[in-house]
Amino acid sequence: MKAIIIDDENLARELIKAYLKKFDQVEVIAECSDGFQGLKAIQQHNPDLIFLDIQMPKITGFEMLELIENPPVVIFSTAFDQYAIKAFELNATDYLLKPYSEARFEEAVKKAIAKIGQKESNQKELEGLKETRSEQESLDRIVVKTGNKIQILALNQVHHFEAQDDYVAIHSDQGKFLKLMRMKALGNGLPTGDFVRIHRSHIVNVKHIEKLELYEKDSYILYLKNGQQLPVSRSGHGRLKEVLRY
Amino acid sequence: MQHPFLKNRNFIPYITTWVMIAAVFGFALYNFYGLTWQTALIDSLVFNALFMGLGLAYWFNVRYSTFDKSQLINQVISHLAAAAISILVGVFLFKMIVTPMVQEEYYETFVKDSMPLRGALGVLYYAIVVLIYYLILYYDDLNTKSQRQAQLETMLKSSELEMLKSQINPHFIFNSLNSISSLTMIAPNRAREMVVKLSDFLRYSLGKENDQMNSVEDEINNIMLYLDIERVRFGDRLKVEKEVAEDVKDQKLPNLILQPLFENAIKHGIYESLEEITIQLKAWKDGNLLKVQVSNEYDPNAVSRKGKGIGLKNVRERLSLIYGVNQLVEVSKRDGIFTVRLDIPQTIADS
Repeated sequence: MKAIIIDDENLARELIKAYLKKFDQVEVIAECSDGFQGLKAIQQHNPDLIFLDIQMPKITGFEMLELIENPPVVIFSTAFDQYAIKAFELNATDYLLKPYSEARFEEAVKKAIAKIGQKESNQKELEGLKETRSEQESLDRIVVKTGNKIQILALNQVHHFEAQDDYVAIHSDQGKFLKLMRMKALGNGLPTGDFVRIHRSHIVNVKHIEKLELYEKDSYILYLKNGQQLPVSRSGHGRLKEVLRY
Repeated sequence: MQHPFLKNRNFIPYITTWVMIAAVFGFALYNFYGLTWQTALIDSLVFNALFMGLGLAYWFNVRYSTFDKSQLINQVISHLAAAAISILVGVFLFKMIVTPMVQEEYYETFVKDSMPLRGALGVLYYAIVVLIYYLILYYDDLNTKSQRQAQLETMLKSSELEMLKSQINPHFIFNSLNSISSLTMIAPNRAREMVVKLSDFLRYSLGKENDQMNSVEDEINNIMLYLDIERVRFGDRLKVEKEVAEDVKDQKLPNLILQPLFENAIKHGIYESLEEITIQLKAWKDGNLLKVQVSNEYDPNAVSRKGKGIGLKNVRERLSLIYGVNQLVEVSKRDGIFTVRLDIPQTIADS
């Protein structure tokens, strides 16, 4: 069973390695001190299990996970993060609160091993985690990946989001990016007042709106500053009216 | 401070008071000095109107001289001079205006005879008006002071917890405990050392009153403990450069005022970067000011997660409340270096 430890503190990684000595079947194949390295190592080694710290430089553990298509079983750890802990509890996710006891650690690893044995996909659990987290804590940036390049987009650089099947297309100053996520979860996490859902499959940044034109009776077209035209649904128009107060 | 009788509608009671004085004055002239009522009216109105005008000017002599024991003689001289000049001017103008208006011989003699009395009255007017000005100033000062005091107290109370929370980041404590947990297995000696450091740091940070003033040396020692602990966690990634002038070591600064600056430096430096980060601390004396500067390298391109912005705001508010002066915190960002400088006055206005 292959495992990767991702934590920005050396001593935290050492502790996990020391506790893991009891588990002969688990082999630590890589150690990473940030999310970028972690992502690379996961793609390279395709591990069964990862130990993931949440607060790390550049991108958080959660943000790293969002960039992985078929994430392995994860044992989260955090020192202090109310939002994350709440999200874990709501989704019955196993997590370690630093500092943790050896007994607690062993319990978590045993559960994880059982999960790996059942070949259960944890996609659903992670999806739920993402959703509850977006309800708790509003987003302030979005991490995307194109090929091997990871980019962090500030929300004010995003012009609009567009639903495309299981993905969301993010149109931004830096270009267009695809990200595996649900429009609904995204809508919940965006700061209200800055973003409006104008259509079932479109969310716009109000700062990038150029004008709104009546197209037919009850149907409008929205022009963005970059010239793009987007359809506005009836209920979307209502929401737009509310936010822009016209 | 604006002129108390010219701001808002305060000129109304001022003028009303003078009209009443003029009425009494005129009545006295008519009754006791045998002037006709017209002459008494003209005399009273001109004389008192002149002093009403002069009274407004007295303000500047009060306002622009500070009330200070060492300046007492200067003050007395300045008041005597102002009184003498204003009374001479007032009486002279009075004579100039009144003489052509009332062309009667007995009145001319009356004006001449009444000069000493008018001078004495001028002195009385001067004294009363100046006294009122001093009372207003004193009252105003008292008001501002009690307001500031109340503000300081509520702020200290409400923010006591908030400040401790922001000054000692729970992340820091739990992660440090986790590091200790790890060290007990791989290096028990270092674990013990870190427990002692963390305890010293917490004892210093938690054991102090919020309004306490500490020496630069104590505060910096505590900060160094904090940085030592962080260095155990982050290893070589954290470099610290310290440049503290000898003559500032026993100068005073508010309790834990530097802690948020270093937390920020660590947060934006170490927590958001993959590279090695240098934090620089400088402290020196500049006249009456103690200057403390903390700078750290940061990644200007990082899309950082929004902080609550409590740290710096708190520092700013605390300093302005303690010293009664704004602009004691200067922040600059240049060439990937974030710098905060505190200018801490070494004599507190209130103590």
